[in-house]
Amino acid sequence: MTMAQVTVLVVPGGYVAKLDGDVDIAVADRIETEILRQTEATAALIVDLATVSFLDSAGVRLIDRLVGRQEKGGALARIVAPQGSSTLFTLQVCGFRPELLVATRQAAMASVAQR
Amino acid sequence: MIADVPDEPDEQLTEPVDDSAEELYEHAPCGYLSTRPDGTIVKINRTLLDWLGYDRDEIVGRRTFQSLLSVGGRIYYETHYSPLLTMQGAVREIAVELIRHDGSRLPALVNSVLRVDASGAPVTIRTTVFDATSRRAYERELLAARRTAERSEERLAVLQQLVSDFTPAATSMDVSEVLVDKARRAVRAVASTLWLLAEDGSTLVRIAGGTPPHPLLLRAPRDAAMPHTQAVRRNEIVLLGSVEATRQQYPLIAELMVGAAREAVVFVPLSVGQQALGAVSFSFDQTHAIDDDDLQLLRTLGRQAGQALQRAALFEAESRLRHRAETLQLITGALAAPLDAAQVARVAVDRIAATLHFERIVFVLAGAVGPVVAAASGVSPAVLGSWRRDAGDLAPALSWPASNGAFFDLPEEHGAALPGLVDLPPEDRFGALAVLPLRSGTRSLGVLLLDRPAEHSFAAEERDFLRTVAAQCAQALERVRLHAEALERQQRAEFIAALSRRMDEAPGLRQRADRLVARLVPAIAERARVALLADRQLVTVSTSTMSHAVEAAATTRADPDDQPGEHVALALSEGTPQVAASATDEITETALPLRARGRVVGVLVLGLGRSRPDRDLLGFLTELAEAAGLALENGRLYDQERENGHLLQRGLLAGEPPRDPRVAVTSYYRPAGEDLEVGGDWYDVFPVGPDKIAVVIGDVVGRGIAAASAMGQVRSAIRALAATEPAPASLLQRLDRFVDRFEAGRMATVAYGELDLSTGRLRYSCAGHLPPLLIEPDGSKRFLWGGRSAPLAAFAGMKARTEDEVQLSPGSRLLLYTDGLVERRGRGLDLEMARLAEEAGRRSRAPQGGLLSDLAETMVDVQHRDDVCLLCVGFGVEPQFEREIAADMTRLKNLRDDFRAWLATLALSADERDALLLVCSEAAANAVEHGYRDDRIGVVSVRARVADGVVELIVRDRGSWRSPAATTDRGRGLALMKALMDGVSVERGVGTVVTMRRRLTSEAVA
Amino acid sequence: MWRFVAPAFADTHQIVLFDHVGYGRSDLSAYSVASYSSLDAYAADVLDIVHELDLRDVTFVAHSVSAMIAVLAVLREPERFANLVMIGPSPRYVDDPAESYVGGFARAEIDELLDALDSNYLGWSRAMAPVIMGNADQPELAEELTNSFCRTDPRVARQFAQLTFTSDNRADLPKVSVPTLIMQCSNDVIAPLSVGEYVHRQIAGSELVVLKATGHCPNLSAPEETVAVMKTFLRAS
Repeated sequence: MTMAQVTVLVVPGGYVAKLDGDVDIAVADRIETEILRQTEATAALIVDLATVSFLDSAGVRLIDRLVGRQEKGGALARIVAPQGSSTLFTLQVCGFRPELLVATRQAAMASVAQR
Repeated sequence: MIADVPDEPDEQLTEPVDDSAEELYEHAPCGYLSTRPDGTIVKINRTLLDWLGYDRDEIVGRRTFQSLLSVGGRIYYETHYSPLLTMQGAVREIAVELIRHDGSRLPALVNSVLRVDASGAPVTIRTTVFDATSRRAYERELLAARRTAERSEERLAVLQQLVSDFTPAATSMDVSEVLVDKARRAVRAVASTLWLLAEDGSTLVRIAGGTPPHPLLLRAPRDAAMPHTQAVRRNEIVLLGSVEATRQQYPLIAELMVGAAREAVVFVPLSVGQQALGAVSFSFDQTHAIDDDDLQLLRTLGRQAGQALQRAALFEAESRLRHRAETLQLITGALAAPLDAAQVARVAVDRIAATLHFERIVFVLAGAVGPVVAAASGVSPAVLGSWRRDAGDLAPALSWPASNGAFFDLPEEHGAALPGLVDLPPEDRFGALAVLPLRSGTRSLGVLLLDRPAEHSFAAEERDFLRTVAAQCAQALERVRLHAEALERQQRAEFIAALSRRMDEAPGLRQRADRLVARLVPAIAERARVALLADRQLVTVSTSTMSHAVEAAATTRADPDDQPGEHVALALSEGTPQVAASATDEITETALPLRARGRVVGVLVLGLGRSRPDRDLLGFLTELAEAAGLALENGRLYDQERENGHLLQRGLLAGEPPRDPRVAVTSYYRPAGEDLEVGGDWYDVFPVGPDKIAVVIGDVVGRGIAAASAMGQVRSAIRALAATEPAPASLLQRLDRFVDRFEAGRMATVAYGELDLSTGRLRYSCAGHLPPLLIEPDGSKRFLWGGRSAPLAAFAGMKARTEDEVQLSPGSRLLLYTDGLVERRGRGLDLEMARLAEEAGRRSRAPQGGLLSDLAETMVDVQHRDDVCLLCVGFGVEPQFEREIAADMTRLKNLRDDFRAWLATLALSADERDALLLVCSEAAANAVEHGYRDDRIGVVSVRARVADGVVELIVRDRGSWRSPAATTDRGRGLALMKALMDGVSVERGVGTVVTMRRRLTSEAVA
Repeated sequence: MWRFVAPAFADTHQIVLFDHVGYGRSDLSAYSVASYSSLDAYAADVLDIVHELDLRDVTFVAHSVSAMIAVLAVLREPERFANLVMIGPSPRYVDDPAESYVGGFARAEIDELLDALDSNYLGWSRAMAPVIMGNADQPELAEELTNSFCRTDPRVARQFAQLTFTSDNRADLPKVSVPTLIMQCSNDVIAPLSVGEYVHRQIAGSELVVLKATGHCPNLSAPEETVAVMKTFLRAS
């Protein structure tokens, strides 16, 4: 059984939190703790879900909270969810604002850089 | 005498003589005079007039008594004689000198009585005068003798006092104090100056006394034409008795004497035996004349002072040596502890400040780009601050040419060489300075600057001592440098070893490059990029920042944004590390060639921060790049091989299984352990007629590309033969001949069967392969042992191929597998096969999707060293998904995997598949969370089926429902279900049953 | 010295009489050639007395060379002194032709004077004492004389004389800021009238009174006149 993983990278202007595998209720809290530990709400945060195979509502809540924290701190948040992925499907179903969702990490970096 | 007295009276005594009172008065053997109270002479006798050579008329009524006296007498008369007379009425035997008419003097003793009238008012003074010439001569002799005695007594006392003052003088400063202060006063000089020969014996240096108005009086060569140097040279007193006498030989001194109103100056050598250690001068004004006795006294004084100086010098030298030995021990002891250069500097400065008398101490280290002030004492914050920003001013000290240092007694002397220490605000300006380079061999580690604000003469002994201190500091620096170097070397070696290990653990190039970058950033570099040459184009494989490298595209095409700098191009062409000429966004890039098989295959570009790497760091990075290049190349080779194998295998394994509602085919392939080469297992399912499909599973001996390629050939051959051969046995016979001819796949095993979908009849043949397992819908199972023969083209095997036939009932499943599933080290094959049959039988009603992965996971662990290939043919499609999972969040993923596989057997759109998977997971999660919040042993059952184009999903638990905590935002799950499904119902009774339905799109149903 | 003068002020003033160290009833052992090498040392002694008795509003009556000691003391602590009375003062006894100053003595005369002191002390001081002691009529006078004039170590006298006749305190005079009375005898060989006038010129606001009395010691030879002048001055100030 592969555990969901999170890797935080420092990039120009902020952080990339790259998630892997299944992000569900079993691991969401741990991932959130890890991201909060490694990032600050004063810099942009890109949550990269490109390699996430499954995202449940706990995962959605996790991402929602991260977005909330960022915007409260006046910092940008972007979610990388590739076209056609189940992740994107879930986020769209949950009504995430379109501008939060980007298809690639490069696009996310570009929107961070524009700020 | 008594005998001589005559008995008879002298005849003459009877003779009449003129002895009247008048006669007696006038011619008495003493002088008489009477004066009024104010001294005016009213009467004087002849005797006195004769003695004085005056006529009576010149005196009486014209002169006063006191006017006849010498000056001293006159004063004495006024201050003593007259008051005494007034008070007591008489004075006796006053010694005076009377001035004769011719100006000569008459020593006399006088007695006076004052006559007063009845009322007590003074009337006259009567005075008798006795000639005291001989008595005065006697007195004068006595006086002279007394004066001489007194003077020599005085000298003796002065000398004794000075000698006793010299005795406790422990330092030359004590001696000089006695000389210039006490001795000066004792000899009644108005000024005094002391000079001592410097250590080298060639310079006479002023030690004490008023500031001399001329530099030569401050410091003079021993052979200078000056009086104090001459006194030292000749070890003789030099007496400049008057300005005039001085003017000829020492005009300069004469001028100074005039300026300071000096009448005479004596320069006294301070001698020990035949040598003079220095000289002391005593200046006199006009009130004091110098005689030979004075000179004698001064000569003796000079000798006593010389001895005292020598004694003090010995004492000082000894205590200095002791102090220095102790100091050195302290410093050396303190320097043993520090572990880095900055600590060495701090400790050294602290120790020196505490034990040596320096005002300012600056410890400069040789930094990578110039001097660094590592520690300082006595320097103002402003100056220290400016040095911390830029210590360039101190660079000359760091590259000091003389390795044993330099010592400057005056700021003028070091100003030219080290302008940085003089061009400071006055209060910070350096005075006497010691520049002590800290070297190890020829390597400059730093420099120690020691300063005294006032002039200071660094004696040879002190210089040696300070050099020793500096040597100790240098040793300490070298020690910590070697320590740091060894530590760094070790750390670097460990780093490279760990990096190589870590890279080797990753299977492929990309992973290895990622790991390389991850290890380097931020541990070593601010950023890192691995770029490899592919078709003469540089392709970025991994990079720490994505801003200009398009990660996804990087492996397949050259990055258009990435214009390799000149340093990158040079590193590629020259094969040597290159540092970018200029920094971009404050980072200097270093390009390191990556080599493999003796040529440069790429480049590792590191952004190392602002400063350029030193040779040391470059050496390390080169070594690192060597190791990385090798690991990357191995990764690339692995990738290539694996890629080839997998390409082959994927190409061969993929291919749409026949779409026929009468049959469900699922397959499972798992390569042995992630990083192993591809194996030779394969399966195949293809139609061989309208109602017939061929089912194949096989295993080619060996691993890697060769095996994969052989497998491909065999597989192709089977497909080709299946089209013409009527039956499995004859197909295998033909296949034997093919393999025999081409060698590819000899000893491969194959199970081949043809299933008639209309009848359910299966004809099959096994060439050395493990028997297929048939599982009936009721859970009964059996291995198909019929139709067995040897592996393909086996030399030792039976040439004849046989086949067998079996009837499949609807709902039954045929399981074909390779030996990876059942061959277990230490376990009999039969036992494992029995276990397989058992496990498969238990799952006879489980949905076919997910069955194979479940079986595989049950049978073999993840680290299994062999490929596992499974093929399942369900005759008569399974319409229903049924699962039970433990009430544990971590089991949700298993459930999803199974459900995803079951969904895969349905023809669904991606959105439908995602939606169903999501709601299934959500519902199950709810069941786990709410139904069994306090209970981990509960079970959640999930059932799904498709009927009439509608998917029905039922999730059931037997726990007691707990409302979601108000604070959580749980509930989205239910919202999701409602959003994604056409209908959702929740029934709560003993446990909770969630039933959801969704109508599939027409396309999906079709 | 002051027995004819001091009683006249007993009603109006607290009178403090003292002998300089080395003289009279002073502690002779306190004297050393080194420490009494300048008039400053004597001035310091005066101030010690002033401090010890905590004297204020002092009228300092000083005779002859003591007048210069008084000047030095007053300059050091002017706040202690109300008046300065100088009898026969001289800032410099030796002529200074360069500055047209007439002190009354040529250098050669001073040498002779010191010589005279030497010989007198040798021959006189010891010889005189018994005679004075033998004056039965005025035993208290004999006592005073012995104490004030004769009980003097010749070395002390020699140095004090040298100090007196080689000192030059002309520069100190203009700094005197307290009311000053200068009493000058008509015919004083030690301090001629010109010196009295010089002192008067140099001390701003000083008063110069030329006495009918002659000699150098009007306090002894003309106490009535001395007292009268002082009283006039003190009343005025």
